[in-house]
Amino acid sequence: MTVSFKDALKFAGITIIACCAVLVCNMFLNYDIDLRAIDGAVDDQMRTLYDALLLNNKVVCGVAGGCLVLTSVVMLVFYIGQYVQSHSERFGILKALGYGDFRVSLGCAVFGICVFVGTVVGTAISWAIMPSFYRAQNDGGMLPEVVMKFHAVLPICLIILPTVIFSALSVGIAWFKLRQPALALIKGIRREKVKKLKQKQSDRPFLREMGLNVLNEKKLLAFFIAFGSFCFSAMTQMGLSMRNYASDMMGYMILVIGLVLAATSLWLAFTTVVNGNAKKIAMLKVCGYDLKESGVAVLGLYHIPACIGFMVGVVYQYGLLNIMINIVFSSFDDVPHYSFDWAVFGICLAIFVVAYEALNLIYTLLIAKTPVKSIMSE
Amino acid sequence: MIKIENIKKSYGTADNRQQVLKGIDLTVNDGEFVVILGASGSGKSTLMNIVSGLERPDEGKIFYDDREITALNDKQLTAFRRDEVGFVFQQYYLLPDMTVDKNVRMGADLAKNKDYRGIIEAIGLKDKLHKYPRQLSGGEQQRVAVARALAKLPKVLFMDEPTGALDEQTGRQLLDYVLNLKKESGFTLIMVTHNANIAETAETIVKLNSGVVVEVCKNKSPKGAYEIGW
Repeated sequence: MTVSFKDALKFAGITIIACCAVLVCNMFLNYDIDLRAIDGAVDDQMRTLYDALLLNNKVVCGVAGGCLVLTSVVMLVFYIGQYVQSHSERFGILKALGYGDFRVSLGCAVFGICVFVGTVVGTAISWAIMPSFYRAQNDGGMLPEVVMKFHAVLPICLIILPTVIFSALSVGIAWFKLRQPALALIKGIRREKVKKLKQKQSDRPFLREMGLNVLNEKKLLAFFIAFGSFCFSAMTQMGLSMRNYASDMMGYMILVIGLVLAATSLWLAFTTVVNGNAKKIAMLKVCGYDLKESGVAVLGLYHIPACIGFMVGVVYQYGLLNIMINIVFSSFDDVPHYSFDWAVFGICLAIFVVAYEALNLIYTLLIAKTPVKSIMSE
Repeated sequence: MIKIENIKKSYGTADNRQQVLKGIDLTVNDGEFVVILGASGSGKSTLMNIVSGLERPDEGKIFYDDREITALNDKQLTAFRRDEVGFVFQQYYLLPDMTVDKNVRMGADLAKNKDYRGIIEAIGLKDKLHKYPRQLSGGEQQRVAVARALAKLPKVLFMDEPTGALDEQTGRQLLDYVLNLKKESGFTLIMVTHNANIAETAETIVKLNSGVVVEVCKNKSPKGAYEIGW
């Protein structure tokens, strides 16, 4: 086997995102199916609420589930690329021995396991909280009782199908990445597009140039940092702003999912940045650059995607709540008008700044622990 | 002057401990060219790493003039490396995504050396300024590493098997560049090698065997890079 189960553990980020996606989708889709079962019992008075709940289910599954699935795919593409790059010698030797590209990349199917685990856990959690969720959705008793039932189509669509698709996707991505000569893999020569190198002379100081270089080298990491910041911003603000419009349970659920996604994305991105630049960091230390300079050079410019992600999250949550409350639920008399919650924005911004800088500090201290001899032990 | 007193260093766990350096005493004068000569596993690279402040010894002291670097904390040791020493390794360790200019500037910015391009010119890479390491030959890459180290304007330059990965012609060329730059700038040069021929270019040859200095030879007439065997 070219890839071990231990290797699959490194894809914990995908497991967590798959878990969150299935948690939300399973709960809302199960509720949607059960809600449709009472269609015949819904009279004209209840119809508006009934339709709004159906629409709400669609929007939540589409937006939350869709975004999370897309992010999982992006993450999978990135981490398999990283995996192939860091284990290129092993793959190169196998190819040199005569194993074909497809045979070697078949081992990457094991990465589907991380999706399987995530979706199973997500389904289990959603079933655990579903009774409370059903009660909260019909808190005022305005609709007939919605009975919670098991629908076999959901585990098939939300557990088996994603596992199979992600396994196949893993093999496909690995196969694509391995399509290069065995010797190039053994020597760790990266396949690079022949690009016209910029010959212009820049007078930027070295550390600034290096920061730009680190940021440019793996643009997807900037995306993950922006995504983590977006999740924190959008979902914490949404969770807290929703207290007047939905049950406390919905608010807490969104808050917790937001925090889990943000922490996972930022942790994975920061870890990859520091590990992927270990040689550069070691060389900076050999030359005599101090901890602060090294930290700023490697992590400093990631503040930009973090700020962008946070601000996009602010706009997104405002836009979504505005549409849901002021347009979709506008026909309800007792729903208060929604306006931007500046207090929640201020609190979330302050917490985000403190949390992000704490993370930055932790990883800067990890940079300090990068052994100088690591570059000489090869 | 660098004074090395009773340096000892071991590696491994308690039940499988291997003493690499067994009490090294040595003195290196300012501006001197010292070659540490020894076979693989003799402890020469470990000695260089300790003397240059990359590693700490288990026992012993190292003085740069009156300053004991073995007593410095990590922050002070980083500042020491920044101000006092330069390194050239066998495997170059250039930053692959940066041009020759930026790789050399890595060292130059530390010393606020605005004239670093003069060093690039001196090692014959003026026309490769905007090339990336992968576009250079091994010899050219090693010359960039030398320029990066010298752009810091170090008082002491440490070179660990700098010609180890180069062919004879390229190796001689590199050595010639370094010796000429040393004559011009007057820095102290400490080079680790297993090649006895290269040692003939040095003023002092320290022979190391199994972690012990077995001989210190003073060479009254050091040879040039093109006068030695290879």
